[in-house]
Amino acid sequence: MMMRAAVTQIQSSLIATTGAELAVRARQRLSLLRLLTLIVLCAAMVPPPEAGYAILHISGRAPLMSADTALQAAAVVLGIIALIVFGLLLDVGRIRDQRQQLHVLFAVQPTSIRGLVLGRLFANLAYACGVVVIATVAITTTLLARFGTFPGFEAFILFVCIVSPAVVTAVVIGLLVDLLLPEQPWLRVVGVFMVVLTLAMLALFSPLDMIGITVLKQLIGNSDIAPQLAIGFIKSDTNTGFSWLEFAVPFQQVIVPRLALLAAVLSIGILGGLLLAPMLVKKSNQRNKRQLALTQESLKPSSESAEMIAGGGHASLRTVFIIAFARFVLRSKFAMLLLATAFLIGLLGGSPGFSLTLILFVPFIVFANTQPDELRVAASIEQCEPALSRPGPQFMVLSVIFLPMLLAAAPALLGFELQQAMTALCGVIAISAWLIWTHRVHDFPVLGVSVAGIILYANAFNEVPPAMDVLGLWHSHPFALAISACMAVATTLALLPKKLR
Amino acid sequence: MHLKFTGAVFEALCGRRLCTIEEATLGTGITALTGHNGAGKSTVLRAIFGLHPLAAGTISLDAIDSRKHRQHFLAHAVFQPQNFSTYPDLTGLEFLHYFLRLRGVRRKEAMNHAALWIDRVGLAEAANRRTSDYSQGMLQRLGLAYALQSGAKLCVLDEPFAGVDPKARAQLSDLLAEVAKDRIILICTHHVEEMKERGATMVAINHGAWQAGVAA
Repeated sequence: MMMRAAVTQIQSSLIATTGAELAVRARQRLSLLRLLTLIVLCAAMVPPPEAGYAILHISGRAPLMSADTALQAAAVVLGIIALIVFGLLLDVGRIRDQRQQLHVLFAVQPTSIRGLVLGRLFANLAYACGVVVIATVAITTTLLARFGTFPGFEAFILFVCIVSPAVVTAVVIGLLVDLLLPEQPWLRVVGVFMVVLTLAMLALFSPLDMIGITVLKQLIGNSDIAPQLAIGFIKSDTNTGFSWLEFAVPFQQVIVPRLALLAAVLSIGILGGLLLAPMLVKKSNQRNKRQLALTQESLKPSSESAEMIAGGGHASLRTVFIIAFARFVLRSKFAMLLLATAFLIGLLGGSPGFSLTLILFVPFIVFANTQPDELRVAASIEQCEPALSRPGPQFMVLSVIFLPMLLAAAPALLGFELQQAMTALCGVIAISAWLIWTHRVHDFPVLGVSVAGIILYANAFNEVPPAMDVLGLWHSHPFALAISACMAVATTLALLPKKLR
Repeated sequence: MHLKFTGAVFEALCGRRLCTIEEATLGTGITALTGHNGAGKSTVLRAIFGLHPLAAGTISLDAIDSRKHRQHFLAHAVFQPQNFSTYPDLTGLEFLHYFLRLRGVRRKEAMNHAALWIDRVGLAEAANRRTSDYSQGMLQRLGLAYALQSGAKLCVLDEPFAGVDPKARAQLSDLLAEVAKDRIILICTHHVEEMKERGATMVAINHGAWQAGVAA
């Protein structure tokens, strides 16, 4: 009898949570922006034949494009974007609950945590699948307009095979990150590290390839040319003939492992969620209490902050530097570890693009580590918070983020021509400043930084079209700069908290 | 039906003792908890639900220990926290429906119940509007509907009238008095007179002591 009641309750909470969370996701202000971004990016990555640029290049010559090959290119792009956007932007779980102070309501419900977690997972999946369907319709319509024909059925199958695992993985990672983020800092870093590692793995190892690179690799390997392979985009030094139509042929041997991977990822995600959630929820109260206790303790001003307060609120440069350093660097040991690793990879001859991209994730790691609840822990940091809002200290914070990035990115930057290196440098400074000034990173660290991450990531790895070339690595065209500026303004407006607008 | 405190000691997280309740039993009806700011009223309410550690003693609802049998306790109790908040993208009706479903209530029953209670707190016209459009007073009304709709034996309400205009406050107080006939309503409020008029038992936390029959 009790067993049946428990099952009924899980069932009820599962269905209710799925419905409610889906409604919340669909009605979010950012949903439309997210969807539009996705469609615009996918469409932008499939340029028309007469465009002055192309994603797929052979010695500067635009390749023979068809609706089928374009669909595959779009699938790869969609896979990458889905992995990043949905994996990191699904800010709809426990992080949101805490921010909106809903966690208290959930903590006092006789609710099945398993039903809650599963419901959120299903809602994520349903939402992501819905968005993918809409994006697919938009892409195929674009292709129809450009090529005058719909892609073939086989190309569609391949499209689904490429996109599905990426989306599912994104959702599962999103769930795990969401479960892990509000917890201990080291778990939070592990969550973020998982995402970065997955992205790196995508490019490096075929067994974890979830966005179709293995297929492209095989094709190019068979075609007797030596391409430089980046994530989803291909550049080649040779001028040998190459039939792009071959891309549209789905590989039976790929489809089965891909679907198996889909099932495996889903199972791991569900199991992980089910196992982790009750444990984490149980411990979270104790942890919150400890943090609150530390907060109480931190209200006693340190000598540094007392000195600052006595000085009428004007912090000395030294004080601010110490605070900024402690806040963004010392408290992020894993970020430092990643930084050092990236630096070594760069030194040991990794490709400039790879090294640079890793470096660009450093702010992500750092900001992921600096959530407001953590800031309360150290007395001097808490007391000096007002000082960090002024232009001077902001500049110091910017320096603290930028200088290690510059150091680690040096090998990558040296690989570029002077003009490219300079524009890249300016781009990195601009993005760092943007991250700080929008301030949204404090409330939505994952959201704020992942938006920048997508742009930087795409830019560093790929020969992007002018509209996407924020860093100016590939095109220093006034049009590109204008588009980039508009994008920056739009995203800033979208992300900036109301009080700062 | 009773809520019983036995040797309960409440401390702030820094270790400062806030309140001690040697022995107290609350029966059906409204019990208004009063006290000056920082006396520990909210802490006591939160401790009942395990949101704040109990330094010593026990709290039980009809012999169900709030800590040892927490899930069972929560099935019979509901808490409306201070600064009640909702999912801004859900409508008031959807929000109430969702939380009823989380308690295991069947879909149709939950929908009827939610509609009934949103009407009883005077939000029928705003039932299908997103809660992001609600004023503070409307949110508090929704919070009261959330607490009362569950039918729990024990309703603990932390400052439910904050931001509610006097007229609406009187209506909600009447509603509370009506439902309190067969429930234990423990309410933390500064509106002492209104509670007295509705026959509430007054309790004050004064210098760390639980004083029954006194309003702070």
